[in-house]
Amino acid sequence: MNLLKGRIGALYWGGSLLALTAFGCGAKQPSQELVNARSAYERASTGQAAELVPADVYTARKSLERAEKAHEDDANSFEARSRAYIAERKAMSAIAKAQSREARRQVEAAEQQRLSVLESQRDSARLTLDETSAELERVRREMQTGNEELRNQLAQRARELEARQRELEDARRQRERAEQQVTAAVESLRQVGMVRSEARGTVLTLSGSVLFPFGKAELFPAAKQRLDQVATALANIERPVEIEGYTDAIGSDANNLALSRERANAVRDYLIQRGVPSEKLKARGLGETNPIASNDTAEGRANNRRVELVFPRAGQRQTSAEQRRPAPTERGSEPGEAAGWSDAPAESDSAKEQQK
Amino acid sequence: MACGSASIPHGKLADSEAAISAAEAAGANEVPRASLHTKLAKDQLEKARGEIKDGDTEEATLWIERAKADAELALSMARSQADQQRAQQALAEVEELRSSSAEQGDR
Repeated sequence: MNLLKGRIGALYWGGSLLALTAFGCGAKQPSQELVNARSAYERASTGQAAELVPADVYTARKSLERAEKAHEDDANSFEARSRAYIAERKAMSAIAKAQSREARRQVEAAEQQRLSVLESQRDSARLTLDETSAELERVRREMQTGNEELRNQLAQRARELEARQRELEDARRQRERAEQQVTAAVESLRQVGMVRSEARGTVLTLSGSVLFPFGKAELFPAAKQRLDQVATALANIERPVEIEGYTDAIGSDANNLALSRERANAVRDYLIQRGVPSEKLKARGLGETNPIASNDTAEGRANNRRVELVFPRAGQRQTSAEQRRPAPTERGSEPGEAAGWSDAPAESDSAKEQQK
Repeated sequence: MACGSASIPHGKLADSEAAISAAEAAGANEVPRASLHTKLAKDQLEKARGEIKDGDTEEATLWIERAKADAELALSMARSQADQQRAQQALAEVEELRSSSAEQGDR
């Protein structure tokens, strides 16, 4: 708006000056200096100078008016030409000053832009920094959580391992104790019978002829003394002992099996009577199977008639028939039920006899 | 002329000399258009001094005024040139800063 007003004002002034020149002193030919001065003023008053440096444009106008007047007075005088010369330079000076002002305005604008760019750079850097800090904090928290989980897992694993270690240690001690118990028991029984070591454990063999009369399942009184020693030895043993009855090959398998079972039960019953807990004793009859000597000679048959006490090796839960030493002759034809362990002494004949 | 008997314009002479000095101090000699006007100013001051010697103070005063107008124009032109250079430089700097900022933004 100001610019427009300035321009209109300048045009008006210029127009009035031209009118003055045209009608007031039309006859006089303007000097080159005056032509230049008018032209320069025209440029100053219609350009940006009118708005930017109005005081200088005004000065230029006064100077031009003075030149016009001098021209009126004496068109070709040195003074008239000098006034026009000066007026031209005042107008040019106003234009140059306007250019200066415009340039300084541009510098200010540039400075403003520079500040705003720097500000936005700073803001963006601050934003990036904030984002990075937040990310860092997040990662740090994750790491802490991760560490905690890891520590917990490791601690849990360590506890499990310790428990397992204790279990193994306990088991080892138990095994050692059992081993020692068996060794001690067996040592004390060397006078009672023959002791030998097998894969399934330590085996104490009691001669049948020492324990029972021929074909019977009732213990000799002398046999009872030996079994008292066995009962004493078993008092210190934790693991169950297996009592196995065997016969020679004379007579039918069924009879031999029944006899061997009765004899095994007789030994078991006596030992229970002497204070050995029943759950520590298992008895079964195996008849003429697993002979340890030839049945062709009287001596061999005597050896085969026997009762074996098996002290299972530590770490072995139970001895199965398959784990036994290989039999020198073919095995018994009916190991099925007959070979099963008898834990019920009430069913045995000897127990019935004892109850009578 | 009535004013022909005026006294010698030592004050105006000094003013014009000062204007020339100011123009030169503002770097007018390095700006071709401006240096033309300082030269004109100096020549006209010489003419003024000649007129003073000849006793024509009226003409001398006009030469002095002309010289002053040239010297002041030279000063305006020198300043204008310097200001415009500064403006160009400032704009170029902003442009550079802006493009480097845009590059950073692209990363």
